[in-house]
Amino acid sequence: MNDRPFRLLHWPVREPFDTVLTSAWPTGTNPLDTQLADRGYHPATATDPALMAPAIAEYTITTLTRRGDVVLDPDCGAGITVVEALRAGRHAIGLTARRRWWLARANVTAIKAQGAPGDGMVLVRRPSTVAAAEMAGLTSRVALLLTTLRLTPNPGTGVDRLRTLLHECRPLVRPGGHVVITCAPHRHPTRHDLLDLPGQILALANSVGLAPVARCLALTAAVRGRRVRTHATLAQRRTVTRVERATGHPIALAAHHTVLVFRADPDIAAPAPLRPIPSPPDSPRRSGMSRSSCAVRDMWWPRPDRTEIPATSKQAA
Amino acid sequence: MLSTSDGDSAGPLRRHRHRSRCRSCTSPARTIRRRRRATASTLARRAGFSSRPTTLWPFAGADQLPGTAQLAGWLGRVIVTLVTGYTRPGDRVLLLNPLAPARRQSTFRGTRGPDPYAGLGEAVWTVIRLGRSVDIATAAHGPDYPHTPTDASHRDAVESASGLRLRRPDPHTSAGDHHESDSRAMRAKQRPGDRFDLIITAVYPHDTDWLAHTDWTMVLTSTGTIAAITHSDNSGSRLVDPTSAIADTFRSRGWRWLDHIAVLTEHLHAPMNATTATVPAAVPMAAPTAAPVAERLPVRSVHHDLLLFVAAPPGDHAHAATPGEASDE
Repeated sequence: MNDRPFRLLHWPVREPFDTVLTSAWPTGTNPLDTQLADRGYHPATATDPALMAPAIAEYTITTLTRRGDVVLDPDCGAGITVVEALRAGRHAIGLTARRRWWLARANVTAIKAQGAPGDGMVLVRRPSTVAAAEMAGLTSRVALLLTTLRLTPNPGTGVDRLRTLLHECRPLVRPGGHVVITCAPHRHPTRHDLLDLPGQILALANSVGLAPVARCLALTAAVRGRRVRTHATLAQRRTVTRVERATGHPIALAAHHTVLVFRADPDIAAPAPLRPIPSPPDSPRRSGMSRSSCAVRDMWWPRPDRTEIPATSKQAA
Repeated sequence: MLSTSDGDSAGPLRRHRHRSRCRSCTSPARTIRRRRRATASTLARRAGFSSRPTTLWPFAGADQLPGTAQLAGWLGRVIVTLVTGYTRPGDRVLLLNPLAPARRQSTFRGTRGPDPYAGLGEAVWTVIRLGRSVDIATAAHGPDYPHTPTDASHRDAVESASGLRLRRPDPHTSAGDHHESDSRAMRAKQRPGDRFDLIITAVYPHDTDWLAHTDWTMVLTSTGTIAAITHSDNSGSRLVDPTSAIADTFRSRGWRWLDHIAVLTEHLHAPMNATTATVPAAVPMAAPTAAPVAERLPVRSVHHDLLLFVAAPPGDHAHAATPGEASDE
């Protein structure tokens, strides 16, 4: 069906380059607009107000997952998590309730057109979406739940929405899987003091049974020796200047986001599935079926395999 | 037309004058570029491009301050940056040594020794050389600390070291009971010069109680800044993060969280270059057996957290939380 020859990805699939999680992530080498442009995102992607930088998503996915794992973003927005997961050779699912979900679909289509293996989908989040996912066999299948805190004019509303999402999608995360939530620094609109949003996220994650593993920093500025090169826009600098005048104290330019890493049921080891989810193939199948459909078939409806014969039966035979 | 009296030596001068004349010529393209540069520089100055601190201080591998033995190089740089960035010559600075915690479990590797905040008071002369007056003090334990020293020698030692002893507010002091706390308040009013413009202290992740039992308003000016250095720690398989506890403690007492700065104490590993990344030669169709789910992901700490707090304006009564909301880990 797809006669297009397999083209090497612009960014080759990379295995985790660091098996040790550091508390500061070097994800600020390039500014956000450069990351979006170089990775082929739709130009409207930058309009997402709570956009997660592609470098942050890539670092998280390549550090905490392996090829063939499933990555879930319950509030994907422009689809950054889904795209970076596909680029890294993982399967990805994005849920969104936003009217502009066409943007995520456009980004996923673009990365699939580049030849990214794996299966990626963007679904509209409904009250029955999670139940349907459980019926499809996704329970305890997700290796990484990666999302960002999306704030509204009322910060409490964003935290409440995140609590609802975690409650709904918590059963999909496999025991020992990771939940990563990123949070940009925010200030009170009138008092101009920092809001302890990471503290609120820690509290609500604890309420859904997630154990905090690390509190890291995803850098949004480039570090070269002793020098820091920020990528703050003129509007951001003007905002900082305005806050400085209002408070009468020096205010620093934001150069990092907070990343909270949690683990799901670290003390409970779930039984291994009979057939692990296959890793995305490197070459298109010659059977005439598209790569995405094959990946979907293998992912959702595993074929019976001779290796599933219990050892006791083999020994008896 | 400029003229030169000396031929050979005036060669460079002639070229310099020739360049000057070229700069002054009014070609449209050059004029436009000059105007754009002037506009950009003006905007940059107005927006603060020139001297704007960031929330990332890369002090990994910094040399120790001269005259210090225990003070880590990165911590010395933090003190210097705080003093030069948040005070002016003539201001008063307090280096507040935290008490060594009873138990300190750290699973960090790397250059972080057993006590990352040792020698905080050794930066006295450095601060003096920066034109500020400095004092040293040691924090006092809370009432629930099991090893609260009660002997007079310890009290005398603390007082002699700093001349200023922080004491927690007496919880049994009522409106009609005016003793030491009220006299201290009166002394503070009578001698406002005893207060500090900047307090630099460190907080261990497992010991944050003493923050709640310290009367910061008696030692800090109304426009002063509190700088608390801390870090997250892994106790077993769980994270111990004191940031929220510290922020809640100060906010419950009417302080505003000004900034959260990350201090890099170790160099970061650069991400693998995409051009050098190689796909494994033989990639199996099926995923290999996954690692045991109970395997704990190792975490390597490369930074410390610097939290800055300032006093809220006097009319901001809604900012201070009720005492019951304060929580310490």
